Amino acid sequence: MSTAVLQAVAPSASGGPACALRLLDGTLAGRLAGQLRQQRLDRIVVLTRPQWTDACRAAVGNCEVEAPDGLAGALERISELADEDAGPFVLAHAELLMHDELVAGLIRDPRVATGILAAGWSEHSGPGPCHTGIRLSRGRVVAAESAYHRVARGSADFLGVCKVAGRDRGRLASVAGELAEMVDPELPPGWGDELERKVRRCTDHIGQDQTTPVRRRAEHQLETLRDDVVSLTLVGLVRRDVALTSSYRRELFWERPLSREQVREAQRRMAAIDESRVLLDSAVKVKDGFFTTFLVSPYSKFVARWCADRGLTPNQVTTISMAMGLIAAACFALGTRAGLIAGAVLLQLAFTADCVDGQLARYSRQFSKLGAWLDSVFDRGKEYVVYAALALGGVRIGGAPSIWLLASAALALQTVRHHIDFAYAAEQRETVAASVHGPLDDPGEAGVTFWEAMPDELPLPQRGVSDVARLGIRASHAFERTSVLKWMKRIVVLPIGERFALISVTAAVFSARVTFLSLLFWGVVAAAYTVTGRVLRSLT
Amino acid sequence: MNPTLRAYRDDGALAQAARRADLPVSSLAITTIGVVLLVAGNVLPVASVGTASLAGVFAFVLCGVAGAAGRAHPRLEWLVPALVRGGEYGAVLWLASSAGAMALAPAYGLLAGVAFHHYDIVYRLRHLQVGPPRWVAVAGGGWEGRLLVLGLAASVDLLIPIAIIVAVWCTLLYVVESVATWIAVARDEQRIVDTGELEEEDVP
Repeated sequence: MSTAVLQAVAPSASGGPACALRLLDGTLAGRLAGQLRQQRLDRIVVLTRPQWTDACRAAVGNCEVEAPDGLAGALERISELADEDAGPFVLAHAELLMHDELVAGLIRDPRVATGILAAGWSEHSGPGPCHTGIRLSRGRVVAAESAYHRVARGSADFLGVCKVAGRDRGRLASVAGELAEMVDPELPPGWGDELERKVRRCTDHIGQDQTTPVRRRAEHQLETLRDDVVSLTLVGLVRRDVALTSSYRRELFWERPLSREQVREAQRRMAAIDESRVLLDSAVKVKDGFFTTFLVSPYSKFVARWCADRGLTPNQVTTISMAMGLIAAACFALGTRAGLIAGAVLLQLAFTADCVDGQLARYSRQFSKLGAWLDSVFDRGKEYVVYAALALGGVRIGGAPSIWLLASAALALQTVRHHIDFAYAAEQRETVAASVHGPLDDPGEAGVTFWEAMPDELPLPQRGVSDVARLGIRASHAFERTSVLKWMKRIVVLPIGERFALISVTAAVFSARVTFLSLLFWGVVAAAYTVTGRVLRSLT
Repeated sequence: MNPTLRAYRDDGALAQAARRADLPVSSLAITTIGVVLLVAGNVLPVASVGTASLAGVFAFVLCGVAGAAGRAHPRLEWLVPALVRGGEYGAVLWLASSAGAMALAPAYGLLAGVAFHHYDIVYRLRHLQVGPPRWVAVAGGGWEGRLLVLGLAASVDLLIPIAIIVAVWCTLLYVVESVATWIAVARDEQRIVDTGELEEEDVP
């Protein structure tokens, strides 16, 4: 049976548990419990302080309310509950206010078996004063923060909801049990100092000229810090090598209100958001090419919504995109100027449809392995059929057959470039999966590599790497933060959007031969750039 | 070696057998040497062009197979599958271009069919966690099998018909096997959706 464990130890400004704060229709915890039940989590257990059991029982109808003895008791209870059944296990704070879609997204996403709800740090705002940071690498959570553990270089926030797949429940039980023994009867050495450090960081931030709501929020979070079992369990899972991925908040609403005013404010802000619009914005891929992000996605997401309203499945849209690509190829194969122009236009339409199917899949949450494979294979199929068609057209209007050699060279170059990407990613995933995490009782992080820590936090590695190489890579990182240069980096590598645009423009304006020569030239430049960068990264 | 990277190489029977041996050479180094010899044989102006080109191809095959038996580089091993791919495609292009204009279009077809298989390996590993079965790699010859066949065909001036046969055979083999697998997967996924079991971990 699927179980959800909610921890309700955060106090509200007026005394009593924060999870019992009233909304327009129910309480915070009641709303969260309802959202979880909608995702077929039948058994809900609330862990709270002894003096709040009645308030919690009233706040969340029809669930089990328990008052374990301190941090150790809560961890033991989690360990027992994890061992009791099969099915997904959700561990969360009880006083979270968020869109239904955020809960559904984490629990129903087939791509996230064991994972957390996370919010990336935007370029202009880092972590809040008392947030729980995490570090993600290759899509996997490699470090997490709790009251007693720190993260060297975070990249996102943990939003207080963790889902453990049925097959990982045993490991959750053993990790929670291990942590329970560790903190009982007293905290391991160093944990007290780490907690004090965090408290000091929080109060320093509060002491600065902050607005009253922010200060009050930070003060409340301080009180819940030491008893937060959700983040502590997450650290345990990460350090015991459980593979955790994440589901992102994107534009959806999330808040952890701890007083009546904060609840009112949060409800007002949530009501002001057009939920279907933010759902749509959240369906657009975060890290896409320049051409796709600025010239296709702004309108393709509305096409995606139109398709969702008509009941089209992503696989149907993928097939339509491939059909359009084939018609574009047929036009290119004519070889005439009119054929080339028509083919160019149709190719762009096919590419737009290709973006739509991904956004549709994310918007309507219809993922399938077949769909993912079809999308990738049809992308390649469209491109290479178009190459062949351009060569055919070139020969038909009287060109030399050597254009086939150019087409073959372009195909070879593009395939090899892709395989460099695939192989490098596979190597990185293996490295991340094999990386050793620190022991559970160490507040700091052992074995953090050069890439993950700011240079002023850790000494630079002793290996014989030239300073020039290190400077080059640090410069590249600096470029990443500047907007223009970040986009230039993404354009140079000639991703699919730029390639299709290049084919369309060169074929329509010039000729197929020019298309192949520009693909070859730009492709070689892109290959040199990426291979050099990756070799340097691998060696440092 | 990372098993994923090993699968990306698309080794045929010969290279798979070589893998079981253990040569005290760096796999990366010897594969790079193979690529260099291939390029040298085809680009440098040597006295008898045809022979040098073929010699380059066979040298690349030899070095690549030796690389399968060699030791993995701790950090740069990801370059090896790309080198093998690049060498294979380059070899086909050079063989085709020296066999005349009629060989170029079949060469494109051959590369396209083989590329489908190479992409299929990657995408199946990514989405199904299981790549194409081993018999497919053997039946398609693997990169070294194909290059040996094409090299021998070029040496007896039969490249064009052999290339067409290899192209058709490989494309049919790879596409049919892949589609059959995916039809079975789609049927399984449909069954899971229909019976309401939406949890990924319930898939056997």
